[in-house]
Amino acid sequence: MEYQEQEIKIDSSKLNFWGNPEDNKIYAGYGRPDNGFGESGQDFYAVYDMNVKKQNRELMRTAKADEIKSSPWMGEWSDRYQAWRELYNDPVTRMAAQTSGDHTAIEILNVHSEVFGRRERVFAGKNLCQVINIPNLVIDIDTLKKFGNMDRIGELMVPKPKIVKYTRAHFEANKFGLIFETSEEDQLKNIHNPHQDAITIAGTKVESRGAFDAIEELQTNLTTLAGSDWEAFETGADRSTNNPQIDIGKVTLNTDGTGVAGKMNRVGLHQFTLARWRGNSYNRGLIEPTVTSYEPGTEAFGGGFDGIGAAKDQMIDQGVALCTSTEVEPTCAYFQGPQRVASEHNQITGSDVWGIFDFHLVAVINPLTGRKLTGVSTPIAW
Amino acid sequence: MSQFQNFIAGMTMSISPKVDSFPVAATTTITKGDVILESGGFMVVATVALAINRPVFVAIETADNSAGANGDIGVLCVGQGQRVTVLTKSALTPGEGIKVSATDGAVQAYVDTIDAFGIKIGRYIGIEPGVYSKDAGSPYAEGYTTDSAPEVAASVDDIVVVELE
Repeated sequence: MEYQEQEIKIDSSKLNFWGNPEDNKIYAGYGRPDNGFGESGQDFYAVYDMNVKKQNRELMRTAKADEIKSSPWMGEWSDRYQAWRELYNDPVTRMAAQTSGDHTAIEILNVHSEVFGRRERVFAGKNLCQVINIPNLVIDIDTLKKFGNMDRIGELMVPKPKIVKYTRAHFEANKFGLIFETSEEDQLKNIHNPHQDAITIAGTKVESRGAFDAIEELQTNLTTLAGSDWEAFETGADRSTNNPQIDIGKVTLNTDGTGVAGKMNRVGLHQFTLARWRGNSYNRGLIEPTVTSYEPGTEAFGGGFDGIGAAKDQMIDQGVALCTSTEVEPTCAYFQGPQRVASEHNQITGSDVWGIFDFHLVAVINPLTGRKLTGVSTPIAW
Repeated sequence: MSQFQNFIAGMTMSISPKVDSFPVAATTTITKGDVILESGGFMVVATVALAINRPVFVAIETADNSAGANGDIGVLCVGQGQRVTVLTKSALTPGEGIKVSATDGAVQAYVDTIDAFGIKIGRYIGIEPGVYSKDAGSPYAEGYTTDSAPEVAASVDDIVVVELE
């Protein structure tokens, strides 16, 4: 009798996929996970790790795709991913693209697999705003004007009636776009993948554009307040003549003022401006020695103020401090509309077209709760 | 030029541009971004003297026929109705006409009240948007040279987007 070996195959069309909130993994199996995913007798196995996916997405978003070390796919699914990844990273495979010689002035022996120049710095401007997501392009914001205080009244008198008054402001998001076309030859001649590199770079531009718009809006439309004490230094010393905290105090008294009630919790400034604040020995003498960093990004404002964050960005003019409230009665809104990417392959020319589109608008919605402190430091060339 | 500027002369500004290839004249080198035209049946770099009542093109690749005869090689170029980057040797206002410059291969402003009608070759559209720049003076901050909408004027030696006509 002829024996024929029967191969057992997984029928993936009948698999059910379940997310497990305990470990944030997706499991595949038959039926329902009645007794949990790890119980014996249950036919479930993990296929996808959402935690790794999140990490990888963050690395891609920050243009660090070459630092991706692990796959979110697990088990046999991971094997398929690894096979592709090894092929992609294999220097020999990549060098095979060099054999043409048509596009090289000299014979190249080896090329470092990582391309330099794709990364982008941290942009901190958005941290000065409250991000409000809008599903479409329009949003209206209502502001209430409260009435004044209570009347003192006599016997049998009634107070004069007062009303609250609403005003409505209308905002429409602006459209931003970036598009590029990579020819077939461009992709076939290059050891690198210019199309993929361009996509990686384009992804970083949404963040930088938003940061720039936020800073522009705040620098233009915040109410100005002269900061006179911050940078009035004793001759030949790094100690200001007056208490520099007074400048922050002026802002706070205005933004957390009577009838206003914002909470100034962010200060946007150029790194040099923050360094002058931190290095002021008047501050250090009052509080404690502090250090500062010149890297763009966020850190505590310091100088004895708890709960105030500094957003450092070299797009901010030196000599000013953009003081905003981002949580209570927010000063400035970053309306984030829909984002989309689009791609197109031209079958005739072989070109690939890729574009990214973003709708956003930065607008000062509550000018009472923010101030632009001017004259707080002398600009330094860099 | 700022390190953040990407535009170079001879970039097509349309997705899937209409590209032609025409034969290059003998002992002629055409550089990417040059305004070119036909003379005696072959492509040469445009000059003021030649650019009268003739359609022009812009080379999107360099073609070195310095040691060749007429038509030995071709040059890839785009023509009428296309948007492409070129070098300007004069300031330009968005929408303003352009003509061939005294600097061969470049363009400059076409002045309606002075210039003959037949030497106009197109229209200035704008410059590269979204280029980072840093203040040379106080307050020494970063920013963009232009925001793109509306388009802004160009200065001498800028790489500009033009539409050929």
